[in-house]
Amino acid sequence: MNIENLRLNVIINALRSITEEMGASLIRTAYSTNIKDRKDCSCAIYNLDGNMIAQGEFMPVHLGVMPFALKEIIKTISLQDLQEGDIIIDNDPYRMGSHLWDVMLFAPVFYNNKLIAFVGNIAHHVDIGGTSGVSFEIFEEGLRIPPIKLMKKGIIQKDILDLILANVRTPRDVKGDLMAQIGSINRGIRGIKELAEKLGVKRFIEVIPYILNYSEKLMRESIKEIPDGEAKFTDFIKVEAIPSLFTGQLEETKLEKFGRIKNLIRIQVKIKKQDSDIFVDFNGSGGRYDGINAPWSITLSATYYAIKAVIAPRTPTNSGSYRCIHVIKPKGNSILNAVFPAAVKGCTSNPAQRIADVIIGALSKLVPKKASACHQDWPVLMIKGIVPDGSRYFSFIETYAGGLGAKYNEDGIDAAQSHMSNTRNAPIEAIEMEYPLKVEKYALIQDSEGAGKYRGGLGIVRCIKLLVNAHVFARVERNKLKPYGLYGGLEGRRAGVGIITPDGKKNKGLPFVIQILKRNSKIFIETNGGGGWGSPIERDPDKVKRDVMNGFISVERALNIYGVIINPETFEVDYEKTKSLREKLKKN
Amino acid sequence: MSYRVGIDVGGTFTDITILNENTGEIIVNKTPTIPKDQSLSVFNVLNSIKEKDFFKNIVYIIHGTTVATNALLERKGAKTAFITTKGFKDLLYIQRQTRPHMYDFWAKKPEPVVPRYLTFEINERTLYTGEIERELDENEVKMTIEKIKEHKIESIAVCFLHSYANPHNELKLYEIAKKELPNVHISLSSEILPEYREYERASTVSINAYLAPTIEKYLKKLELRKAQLGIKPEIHIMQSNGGIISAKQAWEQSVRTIFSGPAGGALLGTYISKQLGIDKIITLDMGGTSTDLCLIIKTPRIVNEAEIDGFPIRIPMIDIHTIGAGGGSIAWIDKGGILQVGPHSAGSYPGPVCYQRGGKEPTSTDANLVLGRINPDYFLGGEMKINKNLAIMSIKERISSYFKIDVLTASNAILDIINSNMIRGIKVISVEKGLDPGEFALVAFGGAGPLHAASLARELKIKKIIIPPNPANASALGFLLADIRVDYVNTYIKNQKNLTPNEINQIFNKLKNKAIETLKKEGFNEQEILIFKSIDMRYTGQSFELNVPINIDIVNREDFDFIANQFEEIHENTYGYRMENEEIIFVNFRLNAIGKMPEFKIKPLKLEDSNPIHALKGKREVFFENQTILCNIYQREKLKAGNEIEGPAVIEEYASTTIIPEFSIAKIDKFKNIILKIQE
Repeated sequence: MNIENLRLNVIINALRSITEEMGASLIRTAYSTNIKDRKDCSCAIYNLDGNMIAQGEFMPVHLGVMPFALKEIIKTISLQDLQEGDIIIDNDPYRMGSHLWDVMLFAPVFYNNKLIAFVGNIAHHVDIGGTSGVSFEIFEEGLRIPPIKLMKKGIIQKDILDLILANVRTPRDVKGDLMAQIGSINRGIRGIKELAEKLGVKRFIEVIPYILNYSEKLMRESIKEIPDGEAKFTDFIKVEAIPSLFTGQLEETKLEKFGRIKNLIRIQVKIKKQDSDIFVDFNGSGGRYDGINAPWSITLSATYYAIKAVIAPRTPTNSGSYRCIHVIKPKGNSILNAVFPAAVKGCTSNPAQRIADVIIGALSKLVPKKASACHQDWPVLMIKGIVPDGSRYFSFIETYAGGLGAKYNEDGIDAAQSHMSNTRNAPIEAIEMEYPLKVEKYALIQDSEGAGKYRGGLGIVRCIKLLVNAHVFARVERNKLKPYGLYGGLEGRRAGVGIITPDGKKNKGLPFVIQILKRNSKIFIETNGGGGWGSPIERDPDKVKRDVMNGFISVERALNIYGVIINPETFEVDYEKTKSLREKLKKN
Repeated sequence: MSYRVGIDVGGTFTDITILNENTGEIIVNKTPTIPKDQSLSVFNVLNSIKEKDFFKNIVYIIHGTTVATNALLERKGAKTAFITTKGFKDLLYIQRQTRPHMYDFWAKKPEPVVPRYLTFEINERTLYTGEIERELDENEVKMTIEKIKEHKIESIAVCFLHSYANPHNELKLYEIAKKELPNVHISLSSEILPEYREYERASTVSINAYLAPTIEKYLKKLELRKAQLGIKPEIHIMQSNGGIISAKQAWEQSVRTIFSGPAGGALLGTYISKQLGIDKIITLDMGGTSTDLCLIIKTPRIVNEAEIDGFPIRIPMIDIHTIGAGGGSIAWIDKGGILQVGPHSAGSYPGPVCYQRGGKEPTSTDANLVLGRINPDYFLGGEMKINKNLAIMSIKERISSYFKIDVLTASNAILDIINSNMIRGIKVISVEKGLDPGEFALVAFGGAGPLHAASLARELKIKKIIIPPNPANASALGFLLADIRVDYVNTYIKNQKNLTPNEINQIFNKLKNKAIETLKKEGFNEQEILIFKSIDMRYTGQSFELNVPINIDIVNREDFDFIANQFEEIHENTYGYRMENEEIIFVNFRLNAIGKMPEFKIKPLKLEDSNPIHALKGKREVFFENQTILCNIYQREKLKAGNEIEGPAVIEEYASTTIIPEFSIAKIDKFKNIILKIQE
């Protein structure tokens, strides 16, 4: 027992206050709604070795970025070259950055001319240049900024700033957001100095290893609760809309229920848990595929997200927490370890989502009681056009909720965002006011759940009518490969895009739509249900009754899938007939 | 004689605070809360007052109740139906499509108060312009009502899309439904919250409908209790906006009584700010399970959205930040081997170990007791027996032995950690908003606030602490300070350059007429009513609004420029910048009306000699910061205005204890506040 641990919490609280203040300052003063509203940003404090000691984090995407990016920077810029008032800017995906939109700032903290710590933040900018279409290499994705000084001795390097702003579509927002990031950095520097003053510099530096060790111990203790063992899990990303220069890596697989499916990228993980360590090996996953490649940092983010969710969901993390999680880089030209000049634009949706799916899937074999069946994968809809009076362009973008996976003792959540994203919907009344669009339906989809003893959550349908001609881009994931169920639970319903054109032509269940649609066309986005857990014929008949009564599932599905006989008028369960029906179903 | 009475029903105790309007004297008392019947708690606490002709002489009775909050948290509201526009029956289920916790698979989305089978769709449609695209079909409505009848519904919530822009279809439905179901409560979203954003509106109106019958039943029961005691005046209910409203109106707008308790503390803070001429105040209301914090710059900030049990409710509310730190917060060692305090609390049952009710886990109160900061023989004025040895044993066993330290060091560390949790909370409401807590005075109350205030102040560089008289009854005292207040809102979204003064005045006049009508029912003349107008505004492209007070009559275009400039100033103060060349959108028009209650006066006393010797009740060893000091103990009730006490010392009173650290001086001011000056 170390006596430092008695009052360590006082210092942890103080450090958390500083990251919270940095975050609040950044969100408060940012220009773009992306940061202000969606909080797509993160702030952190580091020791001199670049170990992250505290993180104020709002998006799981930054989990694997912030602990490593500074370490990469101090490989490039020597500590001797740093002075009080310097701020470094960096967004390089190949130096543990995220995609180019995520711009990071880092600054050294000096106290009485002695370097004592670093602070940093990351924010997703509205624009960073580059093509608005498909990218094959990083050069098309926008401005790549290696670690350079944006500020020297407290003075902004105007030439650097001008260079950046000359390369983006929305210079006002980018400048405003960068200024907000600088304000947040300065807030952090002030906070660290005050803390060092209070504790004394010597003690401030000495206590940090205890904080890292504490976080490591917390994670190790949580890992120890899992039995030792090894588990493998494989899933796929189906490639539809995005072409790549590297198509040789695609697989064709025969799946039991769907027959042959083409154009698959394998995402595969082997997890080994030994005592208080976890080893994660992605070897066997697919090769480079542009637009979908993940920089290694994003592979780590998704890995840490999934492990944290299963093992220690409520524990704040820092570099110490990750000492016991060992992620092994796949060999060669992997989709999960993008190397220069591989395109990485879409990495934060997939493969990040699929990485989380396979890790949770593998862990479900080791610790069923902490895992969950497969979540939905969120679709994206973009509508662009000109408002009816011709006065301005509009650009509408949304990602959608769906069903989450069931757990060993509980149903999955209906209609929610999954894994790497958790953004709110746009209110219907706001959409209709601001865009030439009319929302006609926003509802749960009956029978979309992955059936099970505990059922997955329900997916949703959103129907939007165009009031002008417009360009529509809609993409759903898991259109063929549905969200998996576990331990006998069934898969959730597939996602799909539907369109009805004004002449009455209908098209349903598409994986994507990229086309110009006429006024009065309707677009339907139907999202996945979550995977189920356990056999549906073991589900409590009263729960099935409640689902039927509430219209979550139909009387027919109750009968055919759950083996529960329910009177459609009174919703009464015929328990005896249900029992014998279920016994018959069990034998088959 | 005439008495003004405030009653606050809390989780453990029901507090009463009585102002004698003639003498300015204040009487307080507490009786145990009867959780099953709050009206009986009110009855008991009123009955405990022995003043002559007390009931007959009551002129105002103001009540803060948790009936609404509890009914919602325990899901004991009315059987409610929800009626909405065709295509959107799952508004209450889909919510804002976020999951409740980023990582925890077991975190749940809030379960709507209306089950899905009681949700009904009507084929109608209003557009955002207010144009009715599709009228209600009367037959369809009647068929729906037949179904509702079958289910024996007690209450109905109605939320049609864009009804804030035109309530026509909601009103028509009301007309038909009321005829068929005269005894069923009906809440219309266009009445309760005519504001855009359908989920927040639907959530607010469904909760209102769900709670209304429960509140109505409760308030009627309360009327009977009151009549039994021979109390005449109508009961007024505390609302979350810091104002009060008569009982009858309270049940129509039941959602406004949620979170009314903490409002009392904020009102008291505001009163003290005025009384002492200190503009910047942070109130610290530390009870058994949690601490409420409120930042006041002349007045507390009013926000227009809060969350309860995961549900958004869009009603005006005093901005209060609650953290899980209280006297009952449990000290424990986490998996990583460090000492934690809270957020779990032993509550009042079993409560801290020293309560001898079977609690095993040491709490913040136990630590205070072990350190000599609480007097074991004078807990609740000696009415409640507490056991110091049990507290010592439990801290030794669970904390000292793990770290191999003595029990005083362990107890002191427990306080350091709970204090650091509270400091983090105070930073959230100050530093994170760009304000320096060192410029504020700390007003500390609640049973445990005065115990912790000095340590918090020192860390935050706060120089002055104010402990009002009867700190443990502060909320009930705050109620006596409240005015009658009603709020109205209407969404009307338009670009500033397309708006005319006439349009704006029409909206405000409509809201004003409603407000005046309501306040007339409360017994006010039109001349007595104070009206405050404001508009929520934003730049084009933003998805959030800022509230801008409107203090001028809008007559011409220049007035728009004036308002726009005010918005930009507020934007700059809030976010640090203005947006050049960006247009401004007007979104929500708000109006609140206040009927002033007769002014509350605490008579200033004459300052007497500074020597407090007459209040000295003994000496005790108390642990301060890092050493035990034998120090003076004073009885607060005996202290006189003008007395001065040098630290280290302790002031004890009926339900609270104030710590005066070394090098600090406490003065009793002419209002009998303790003014504690902290040396750095």
